Amino acid sequence: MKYLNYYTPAETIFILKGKDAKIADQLKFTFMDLLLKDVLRVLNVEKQVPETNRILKYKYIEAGSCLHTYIALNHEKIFLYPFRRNNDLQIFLRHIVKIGTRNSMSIYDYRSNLLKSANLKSFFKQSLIQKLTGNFSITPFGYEVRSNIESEIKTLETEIADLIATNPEKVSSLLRVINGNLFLLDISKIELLKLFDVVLMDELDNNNDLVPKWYDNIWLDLEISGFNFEVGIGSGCSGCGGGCGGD
Amino acid sequence: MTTAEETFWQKVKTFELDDPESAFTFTDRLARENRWEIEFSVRVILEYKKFMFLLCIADHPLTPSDQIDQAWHLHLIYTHSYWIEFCQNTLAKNIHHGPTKGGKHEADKFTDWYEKTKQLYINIFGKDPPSDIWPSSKVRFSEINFQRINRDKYWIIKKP
Repeated sequence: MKYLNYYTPAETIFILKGKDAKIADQLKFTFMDLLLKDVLRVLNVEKQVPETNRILKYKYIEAGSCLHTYIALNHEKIFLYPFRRNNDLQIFLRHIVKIGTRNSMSIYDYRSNLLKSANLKSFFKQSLIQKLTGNFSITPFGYEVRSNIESEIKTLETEIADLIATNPEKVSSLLRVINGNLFLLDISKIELLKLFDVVLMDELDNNNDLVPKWYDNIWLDLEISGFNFEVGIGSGCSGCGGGCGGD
Repeated sequence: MTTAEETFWQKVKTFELDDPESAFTFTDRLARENRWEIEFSVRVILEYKKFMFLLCIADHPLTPSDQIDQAWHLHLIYTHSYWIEFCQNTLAKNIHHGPTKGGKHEADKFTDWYEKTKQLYINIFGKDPPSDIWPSSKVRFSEINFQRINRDKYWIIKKP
């Protein structure tokens, strides 16, 4: 795997989809990639509510063993800033999604980071006008790499389909090499990824006044997938502004 | 930090203010009410826990930064979490919040306590408190002209 084990998932998606790359996918797969590389890790904690049988399940993200040695690219740093500032933080999954979304700022900033990445420099070009408008074109070399990545993905999918029943260990070792790019294969049914989806959708919904236009595609996806838009910052508040309760 | 203090600190640190089943958590609320980023809110909550831990082990009164005080105020509103789960079950101590009575004597007193708090922080945690959450005494006791504003009726424009 020449390409899939070299490029990060956000880069791979950008090479494959160009302007149609969805930021939500890039954020999500970048995050999962960082987990697989043990730059970040998941901590599951269960706590019983005193005097009840109720168990609360907490899913935290904390620094992984590779955090301080990993040379992060700009589009990965958006998830790492808090842990690099404070190594012993444990942050709710939903909060790290918010932090990543906020830190990505806008599609313009996010794409600029990717376009400036040394890994992708020769794949894209920008005229002065394109720079001003946040657009770009793909170079012939970029198209060539795109085609090579597509063929790597196809080969890998076929190989995995053949091996999955007979040699699951081999499948596991194949996937481990490509880290987060495994989510680009048509085999992913990962629980955490689905949870991340739900949280990301909530986050986008909660902050619709802050969400820039670049999330239009995601809104469209949300409408198609029928997510509940009722959950939001303004709803269900029982703080002092909206009436206090006591017992 | 002694072994007993370390064990106690871990207990305080792992105390959870957020309800994982809530769509709008304590951290979210703290960020929204103060116009903070979530990341800052997360960090303030950790510093708030450190402050409460220091309060329990100190032999003198302590004063928090304004940022930590905001987390404390908000936690006091969650009365069951604060008094039962945190003070009673975690700290084993009822910690009351006492606002200033005003005047120069009070200002001097709280400035002294604030300095002592930061020194104790350094002694116990072995590092300086983060300056964006624990500003200097000068900033701490001068830049606190806050008011509650109804944003449905007023715009807020930053001074140049």
